[in-house]
Amino acid sequence: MTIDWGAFVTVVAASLLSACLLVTLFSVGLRLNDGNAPWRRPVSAAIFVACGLVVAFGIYLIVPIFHP
Amino acid sequence: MDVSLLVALVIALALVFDFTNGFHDTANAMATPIATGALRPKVAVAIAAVLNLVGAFLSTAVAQTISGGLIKEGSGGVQITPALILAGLIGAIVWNLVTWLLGLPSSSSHALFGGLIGAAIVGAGFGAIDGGVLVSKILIPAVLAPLTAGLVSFLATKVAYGVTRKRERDRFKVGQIFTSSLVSLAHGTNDAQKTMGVITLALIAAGFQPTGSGPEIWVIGACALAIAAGTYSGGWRIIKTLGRDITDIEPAQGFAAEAATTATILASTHLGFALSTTQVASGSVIGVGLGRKGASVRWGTAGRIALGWLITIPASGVVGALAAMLSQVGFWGVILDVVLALGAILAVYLVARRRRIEARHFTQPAPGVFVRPKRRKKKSVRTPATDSAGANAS
Repeated sequence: MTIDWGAFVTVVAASLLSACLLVTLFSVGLRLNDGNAPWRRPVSAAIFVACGLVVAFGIYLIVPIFHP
Repeated sequence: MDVSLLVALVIALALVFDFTNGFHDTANAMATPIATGALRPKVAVAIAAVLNLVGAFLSTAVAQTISGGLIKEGSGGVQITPALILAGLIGAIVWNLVTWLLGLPSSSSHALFGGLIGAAIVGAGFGAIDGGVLVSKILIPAVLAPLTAGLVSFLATKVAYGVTRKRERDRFKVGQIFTSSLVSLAHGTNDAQKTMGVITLALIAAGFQPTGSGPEIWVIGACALAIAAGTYSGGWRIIKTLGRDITDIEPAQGFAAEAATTATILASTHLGFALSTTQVASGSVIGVGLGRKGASVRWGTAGRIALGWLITIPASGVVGALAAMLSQVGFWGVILDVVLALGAILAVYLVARRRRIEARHFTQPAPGVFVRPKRRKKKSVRTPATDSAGANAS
C-alpha cells in the first residue's frame, strides 16, 4: 500500500491556485465592469479575455490530441 | 456456452452500464448551473450530452485494463472470463440504478470496480484481489477527493464574495456556462473510456481481438452514443440532490464550485493522483455551502451521500459476486443472470415512476433574484425556491 503524498500535495496546490486564479479574474472582471470611469470597461474586457485563456488551457489539458 | 452469444450479452450490458453512467454523472457538471438558473434544465443536459459525445471521440487512449491492477492478471493471476465481466457489469448496473433511485451521487467507476471485484472473488477467491491497491487507489482517494475539492471551492467562494458586490454577482451565470461545460468535456473524455475498456477486454478474452489492441471504432461510437443518450436523459434525482438538497447555491457559488471541480479533476488526472469526478463535484458543492455567509450545509444529506460512497464497492461487489455464482452454473445460469438483471432494471423503473422527478420540476430563480439565505433559527422553514422540486414531485 503506497500513497503518493507528494503527488497529492501537488494536486491540492495546483487545483487551489488554478481555481482561485480563475475565480479572482472573473470576479475582478465583474467588479470593473460595473462603474462609470472610462478605463474600467476595457480593463474588464481584458480580464475576461484572460479568463478565456484559462478556460482554453483547461480544454488543452482535457483533449489528449494536443499533448501527445 | 457459445462464446459469441456471451460476448454479445457483455457488450449489451456494457452499453446499458454506459447509459446509467451517463445519467448518473450529468449532475456532476450540470447540477449547479441548473440550480442557479444559468442554464435551463433541458439545455444543460443537451450541452452535457453533446460534450460527452464529443469527449468520447477526442480521447485516443487505448483500452486500458479496466481493473487497473486491482485484479491480478497475467501469469499466476486470474483468467478474467467474459462470464465474470458480465457478472461484474450486472453488479455495477444494479447499484447505479439503486443509488439513482435514492438520488445519491455515487461514483460509477467504483460501482464498476466493485462489481468486477465481487465477480473476481467468486471466480478465483480472495487472492485475486490486491488489497493494498484497493486501499491506496480507491479508499484513501475517496476521502481525499471531497476534502480537496471542498477546500478549493470554499476558498474560491470566499474570493468571489470578497471581490464582487451583490448586484454584480448575477453575471457569474455567464461564467457558469463555460465552467460547467468544461466539467462535462472532462467527464466525456474519461468515462466512456471505461466501457470501451470493458468491451475490448471481453473481445480480447474471447479471442476476437488480439491481446493489447485498442478499442475498435464501432466500440468507440457505440459507447459515445450510449453515454450521450444517458446524459441527455438526465439523472434529475441526482441533480436535485447535488444542486438543491445539500445547500442553496447562488451564481457566484455555482461558478466557484465548477471552477474548483474542473481544477481538481484536471490537476488529479495530469499530476498522477486519480480522484473520482463524482466525489470531487460533491465536495465542491459542500465547500461553497460553507464558504458563503448565511448559507448552510444540510449535513444529513451530505452524510447520506458519504454513506452511499462507503457501501458502493461492497454493495455492487455482492451483486457482482451473486451474479458470478449463478453464471458458473453454465448456460442457463448466465441467461438467468441477464433475466434477473433486466427484472431489476424494470423494478427500479417502476418504483421510480411512483415519485417522478423530471426537468419540469426544477423551478429556477429568475435573473437577478437570489436564493434567499436560509433562516438560521427556524430550521424547518424552507424557502419556496428550494423546496419546489420536492413539493411538485409528490
